[in-house]
Amino acid sequence: MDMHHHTPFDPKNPDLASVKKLLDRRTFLTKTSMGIGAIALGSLLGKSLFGKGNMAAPMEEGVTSTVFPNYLPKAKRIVYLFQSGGPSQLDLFDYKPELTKYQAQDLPESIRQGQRLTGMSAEQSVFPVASSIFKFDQYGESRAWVSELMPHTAQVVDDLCFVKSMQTDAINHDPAITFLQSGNQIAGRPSIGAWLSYGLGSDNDNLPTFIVLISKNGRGQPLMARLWSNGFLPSRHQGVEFRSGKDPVLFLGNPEGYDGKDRGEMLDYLKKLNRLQHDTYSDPEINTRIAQYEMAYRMQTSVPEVTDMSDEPDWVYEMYGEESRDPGTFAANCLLARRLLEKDVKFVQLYHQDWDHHGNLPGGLRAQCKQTDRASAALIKDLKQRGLLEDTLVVWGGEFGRTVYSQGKLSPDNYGRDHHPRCFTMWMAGAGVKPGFTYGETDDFGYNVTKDAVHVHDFHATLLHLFGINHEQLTYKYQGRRFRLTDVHGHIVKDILT
Amino acid sequence: MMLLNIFTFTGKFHPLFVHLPIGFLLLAALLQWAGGLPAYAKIRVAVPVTLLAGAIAGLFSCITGYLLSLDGGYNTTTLNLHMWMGIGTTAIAFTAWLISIRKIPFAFFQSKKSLNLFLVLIVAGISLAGHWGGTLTHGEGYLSFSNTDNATAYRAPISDINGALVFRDIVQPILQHKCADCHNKNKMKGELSLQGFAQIMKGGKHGEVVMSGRPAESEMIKRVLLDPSDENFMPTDGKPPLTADETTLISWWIEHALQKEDLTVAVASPPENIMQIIRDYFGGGVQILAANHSPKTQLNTATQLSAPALQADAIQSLTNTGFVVKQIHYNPDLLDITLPAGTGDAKTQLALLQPVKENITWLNISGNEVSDEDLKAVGSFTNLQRLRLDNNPVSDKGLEHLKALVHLESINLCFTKIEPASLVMLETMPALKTVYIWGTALPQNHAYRRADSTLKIVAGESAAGK
Repeated sequence: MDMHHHTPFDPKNPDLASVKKLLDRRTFLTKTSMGIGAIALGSLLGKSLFGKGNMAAPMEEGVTSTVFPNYLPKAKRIVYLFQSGGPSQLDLFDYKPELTKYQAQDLPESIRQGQRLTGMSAEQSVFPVASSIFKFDQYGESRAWVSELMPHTAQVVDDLCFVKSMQTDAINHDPAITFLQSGNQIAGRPSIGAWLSYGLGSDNDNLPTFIVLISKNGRGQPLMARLWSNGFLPSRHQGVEFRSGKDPVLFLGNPEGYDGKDRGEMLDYLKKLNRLQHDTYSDPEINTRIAQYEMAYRMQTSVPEVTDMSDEPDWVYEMYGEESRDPGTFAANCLLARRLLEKDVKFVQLYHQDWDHHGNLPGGLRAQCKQTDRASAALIKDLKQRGLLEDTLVVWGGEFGRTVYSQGKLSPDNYGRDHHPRCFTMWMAGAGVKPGFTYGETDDFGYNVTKDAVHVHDFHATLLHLFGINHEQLTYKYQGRRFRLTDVHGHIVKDILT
Repeated sequence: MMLLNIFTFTGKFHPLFVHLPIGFLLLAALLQWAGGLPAYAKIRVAVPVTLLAGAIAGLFSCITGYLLSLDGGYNTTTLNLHMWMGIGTTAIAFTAWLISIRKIPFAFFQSKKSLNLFLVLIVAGISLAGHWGGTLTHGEGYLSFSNTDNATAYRAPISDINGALVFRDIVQPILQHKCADCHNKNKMKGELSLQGFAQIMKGGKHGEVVMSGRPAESEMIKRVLLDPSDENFMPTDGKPPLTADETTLISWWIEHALQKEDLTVAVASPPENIMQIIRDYFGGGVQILAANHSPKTQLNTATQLSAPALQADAIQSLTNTGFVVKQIHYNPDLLDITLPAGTGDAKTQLALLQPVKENITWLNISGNEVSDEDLKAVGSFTNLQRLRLDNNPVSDKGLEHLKALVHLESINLCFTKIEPASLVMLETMPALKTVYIWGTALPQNHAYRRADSTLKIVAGESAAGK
């Protein structure tokens, strides 16, 4: 193979042909036309724009800020147990004993305050207050309230930090889940995992930085790949979905008749071709492509290794629940998440659907909790005993809360609840958040936040902070403006930090 | 008014246009003089057209420059020098063009000597006009080796915030950063310079800008607190506005510390909220240099650790030998290092970490057959905060080597051979908060724990072994 493209330019013995290739008229004009404008602009604005001497060199095109982390992080990895559909805070964690007094009465306007409702319940003639039919009790040294539906979570409350005053701007699933995962209600922005991958890179070159696990047979509101999209960030930052079953990652296996050696040779030649292409056009996206092929090749070994759970002893399956033996269940995904976190995968994103209980909430919620409670708690315990909880952030929560009034008919043992953006409960645990702590309060109806509201942007700012990132500095320039996960908002919730 | 706006707008292109005559005219000189060499004899035919282009571009520069100067606020002396030198050079350039095409009917102007002389004048004229132009834009003293002027002159670093000068170290740098682009000695917009205590006290076109004890009535504060769309808002033209902290600091300075230029923080004794902002600005107060600070978040994110700077190739060479290395802090440079389980001989690998031993803050060497002897090396990683030793055959004897790790906050000893004696030693470690003991011979209940201990001992949830 002719390798002269790799030799640096030697002025004494100039290879003008190669220089010409790199800098032909078209390329030159493309690359410099902006440059001249920029020089003129710089001169117009004076030195203030370019005079900041200690600005670090950009990491790559589009990057407009300094190197990360900005300060010593607390968290090294995160597992986000996303409960899609909007779990009812009123029946799980936000205990409102006063509600029994108002049972079946119309929700006072002084509480609703003209709050917009979804089209599903806005036409109701009455909004009957529905207290939870589930029993609550206090657990642990932190005396946190948990409903009887979450007996296992109740056992780990001293490791959890409840935020009861979460708020979002969206009232419907798609914008709300997109908002929580990407900081914007309209699709197209990078997800949290993509931002972290972009800012901090990978801790394990053999596995993706950002892995998505979805509970199988999910019903209810759909999940879309754009929730773990890289948006406008380089494509290597998007989440990689692991599926249950024979092929955890699609198109990773060798075609029939190929062995690993063939594949390696083929990729070597492909790499040479790509290098040639890169030498001609100097397009950084070609380097990304080369890196992707190499990553995929390494994943041919590393993925089967990490997803083969046959080396887990029986007591582990007992801990996560027997259904953890069934690949693709929430419990199995929690266990797989632990295995990925042990390998220093930075972001493991779980999704569990079907928390959208407009009607028949008691029955639906019971089933959902049965599928998730034990495994969520087991994950906390397991990470803790292995010493991983101190630098792993665990997040549990949905995209919004549910209304205090019943959607549809309220009977003594059945009711439904509509979407409620004004308050909902999430919990976090591990790296850098206070254990056994509850933050934020809602009114007696569980309808409005009365103390320490935490907006979705604030949650994002706090999350990035735990990774040592100043959310105002993690930006990417796209279409002429610098974008952030937190847009122009976000306050770090200092009171929940250790 | 509209007309004036168009004039000013056109004027703003002066810094762009002005580089054209510089280039053309210097090129003309180059062509003329290089043409003296036999190999380049032919290029002299291009001299007249280059001169003409330069002269015309010079004319445009003069016009736009004059329009820009209508905007006002420039040091008149420098401005006049710059303007007349520019006009002069342009005139000389036109003359040189006429000489080059031999249209001046005097014998002297027909000679090559005259053209050379005029080209020398042009080069000199461009240099001087350019220098004065630069002084107008960037301020006096821009072209000097020391890279400082009076307002930001170098002072030795101070280690204590209380020794900082309120004006020199806190107020002046903010003004220098956010205001002095337009309000400096040479470019006195509104006849105001904010470089130097005396200049600030003198005020501008509309009088005083600061009134001691009355920040709310001081023009300096009033202007920055206006609605950003207000015509009088400062800084103008979308330049970065002052942050809330900066405004608070300056308000406090006007209210309480205006009387003397060399007041120190200790003497001014600001209230705690102001003190906090000052501390945040200096990020721990290790290095206080007038020109060196930028706003930081109010969270205390400064690390107490100090470590030598990393060698440029340190991370790369460790990565090449099998480590996973992440930098988790810059200045001081701190590292998170993982030796993936089963990478190789622990002793050899740990020896490779010697060059960065003070930079290692998190270390994970679990599952690498690390022996008691190997922990000697780990004991020299003085900035360790988190250490994962799990799944290694280390025992109490090895842990003795870790005694000197005064920053160690957590240690993972799961599935090691440690015994209860270790806990006695670990209790004495000053920063240690958490010990993980799952899968060891230690009882997995907390019966042995000292009542007064603050050490958190995390045992296994599952009694079963691994």
